[in-house]
Amino acid sequence: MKISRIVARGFRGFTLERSFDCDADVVLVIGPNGTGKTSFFDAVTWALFGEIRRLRGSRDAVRDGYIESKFDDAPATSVDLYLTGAQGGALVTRSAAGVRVITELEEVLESKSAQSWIDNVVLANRRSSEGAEQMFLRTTLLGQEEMASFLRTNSPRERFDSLSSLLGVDGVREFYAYVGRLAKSMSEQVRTAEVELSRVQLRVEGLRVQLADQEARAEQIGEATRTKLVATLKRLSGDASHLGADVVSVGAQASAIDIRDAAADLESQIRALQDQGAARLNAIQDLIAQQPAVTEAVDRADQSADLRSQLDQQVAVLLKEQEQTQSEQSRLLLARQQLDQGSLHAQRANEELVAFLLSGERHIVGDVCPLCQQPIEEADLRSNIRERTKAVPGDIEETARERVKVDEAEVALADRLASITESMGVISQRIAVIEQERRAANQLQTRWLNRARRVVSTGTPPTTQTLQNAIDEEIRRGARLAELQPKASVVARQTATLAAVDEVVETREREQSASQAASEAAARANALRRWESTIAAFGASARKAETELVEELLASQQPIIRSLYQRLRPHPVFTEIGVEFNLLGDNRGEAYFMASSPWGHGNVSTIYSTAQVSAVAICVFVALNLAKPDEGLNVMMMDDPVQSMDDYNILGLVDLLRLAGGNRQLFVATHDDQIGALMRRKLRPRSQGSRTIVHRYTDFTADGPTVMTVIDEFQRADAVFKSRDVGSRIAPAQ
Amino acid sequence: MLGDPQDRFVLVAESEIAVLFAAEVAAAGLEYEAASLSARIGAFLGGFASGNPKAWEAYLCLVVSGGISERPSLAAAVERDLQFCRKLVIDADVSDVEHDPNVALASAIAPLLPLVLDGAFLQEDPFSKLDNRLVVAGQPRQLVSLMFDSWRNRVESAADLLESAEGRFQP
Repeated sequence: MKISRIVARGFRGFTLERSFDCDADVVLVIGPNGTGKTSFFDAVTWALFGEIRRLRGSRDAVRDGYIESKFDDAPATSVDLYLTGAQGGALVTRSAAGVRVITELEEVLESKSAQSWIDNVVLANRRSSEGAEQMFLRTTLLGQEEMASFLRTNSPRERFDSLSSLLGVDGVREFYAYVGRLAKSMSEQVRTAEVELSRVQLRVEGLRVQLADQEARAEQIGEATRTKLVATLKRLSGDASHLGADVVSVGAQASAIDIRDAAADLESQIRALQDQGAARLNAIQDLIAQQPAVTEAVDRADQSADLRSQLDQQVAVLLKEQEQTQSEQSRLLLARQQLDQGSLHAQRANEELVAFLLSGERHIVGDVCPLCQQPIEEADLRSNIRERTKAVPGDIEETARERVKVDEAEVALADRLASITESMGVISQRIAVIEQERRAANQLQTRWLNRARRVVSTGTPPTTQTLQNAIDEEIRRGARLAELQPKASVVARQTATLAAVDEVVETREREQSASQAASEAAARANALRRWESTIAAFGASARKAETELVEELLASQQPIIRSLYQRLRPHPVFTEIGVEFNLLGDNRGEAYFMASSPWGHGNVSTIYSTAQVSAVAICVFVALNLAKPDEGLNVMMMDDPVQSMDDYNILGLVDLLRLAGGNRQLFVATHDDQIGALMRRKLRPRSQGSRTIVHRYTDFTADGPTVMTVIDEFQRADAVFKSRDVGSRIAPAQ
Repeated sequence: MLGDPQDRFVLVAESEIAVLFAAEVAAAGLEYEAASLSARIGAFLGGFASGNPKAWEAYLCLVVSGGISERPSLAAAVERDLQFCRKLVIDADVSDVEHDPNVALASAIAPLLPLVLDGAFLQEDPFSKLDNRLVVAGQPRQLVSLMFDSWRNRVESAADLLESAEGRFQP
């Protein structure tokens, strides 16, 4: 697979779009330094990987900032890479949004699937993209940085690192560098743990010294002092217990702590008894002060009891009167009902009569009277009519008069009942007040008695005399306690000298705790030390693996490197080169490029010029490129490889490239016009259909380089000789 | 001119892109002979085939007898003179020394020969087999696994490593 065109826009040096025709076997990029030759190769790298490895360390803060053109008004960054080959052509487009591949079959792949296609088809790799990029950079694109790195190599160690990088083992180196960082971090952890351990151990030591000192001081407390203190304490405790203290007695063999605690307890209890006595005295005095008020309240309650009795009698009278009134009300209610019935009867008779008179004879003999429900007889009917016409109006008037009397009597009874109810309410309120006063007096008396019983501890109700006696007793007890208190204080102070013993115990506990912490810190430090040595050994192992890998890989490439070296011939005397390795004690590798001649051998780095060392580097790169399987992208790219080379080396390199090119597409950039012209001549098309394309940068502006493109087609060269009879002198062809 | 009986070329050859001349010369007169012969070639190609790309693709093999191997600076000076053509100095006496003459000759004319790629091809990323290599070297497999996971997960501190090692590996 080859590259047929590169189109870049808004990408590094190419502000405006630049399109490079690359449909050729050889593509030369010629231009002064700083005009975008390296951007040309960066475009390929970025299109394939979305990353430019050599710029990783200088990446701008903004994502992909190092990719974008730095000039204003630049279009969005993108690179198109047109590919052709037996596996099928494709267009790879990389932009800030990601990568897209459009295959010859017009299949469109995006993002991960596009990158996967690139990895599998273009790079023909079965590894990660990162590994593929490393492989690409060491076998396909020889950049200035790689070369400069190799040229700057001074020590065997650095040379080994450069070789490791060229062979793609730098991934291993990065890995063990990572392990080294972890080892360093682990060492810092170990140091921190050791500092912590030392701190804890120092603390333990300090506590042990302190403990020894305290133990010595505790021993100095004499036995006589102890006995004397115990005796005094016993006596004081006995006195105090008579006064109500609940002290703990100590024996002669009691420990210093017990003695000290007992003395402190005694002193404390005496103080407590004094406080209790003072409080009791105050309480009794309060009781005495409250006693008249209680008595007065009780007396008042007693007097109220008589009044209560009178009120109860009044209530009884009122209740009786109320009962009579209500009875009268019942009677009136009955009379009222009778009147109402008579009135109704008279009213109806009157209505019937009026109706009779108005309508004429309606009733006949034998009908039932609507009023009395009796059969009407003729005589009755006639007399009734006569009676009724006379009596009915009189009955009605009489009944109305009776009704008025009953109504008046009812009003009078209602007034009387209201008066009785009001009187009973007044009396009830007075009774309630009396009852409340009585309960308050009882409560006051009960509380006072309860307090008095508690204070003076008596079962019978205390009297004033009882209380006065209690005051006297409390005063006497307080005086005795006042005598004991200073003595107890003295004893407590004296027994406090025994505190050293207590300090010993406390310090011993602290020392044990610190020792525990120290052993934990030691365990942690030991675990971290094991990790430290494990990681160090792991790093050394990885380092050794790198050395072995470099040695193995380079050994496999040595024959072709030698072969290339013989063609390049950078040195007139040393016609052979080889690589020797040295594994140092720390598993780090050293590499020596040794040049040999029939007269001896020497170290390339010490006997070769910069240009000659550069030539050796090119041999290594070309060897790696040629060793790459012919799969995927089959190109060789060299970014300005001839810096500092003389004409002889340059001619050798160009011849070498012509030999090495084979079916590879060759991309070479140079800053030198003459070398560019030499390459153009030497790397001209060699078969029908092949082409050499020269992109010459003539100027550089904010838009990017001005590019002139020249395409050389194949031209058949005329034969120089008539025939080719080897060994004979041949006349030139006409 | 090249057809002159006095001409000292013993062999000429031509490919699609280059022309090769070979001549036997003595070490004593190597410098002079080389200059003379290359001038002849220059005159021949320049005069004969102007515009022919082969005009500047001439190679002159000088088979030198008389101990040129002992005078490497002389051979170097001749080879570094790029006027008219590129010159390759071949020691004719190489058979007299301990070296294999075929190998020595092949080395001398290597710039003219095609490359033979019989070296091993680089097929795999060396990093991809590092884990197995470390296990073979005696590193515990769990540790190798732990360290590679830490590397992939960008674990950068010992504390984080210890945390991720919990339950996986203890030294």
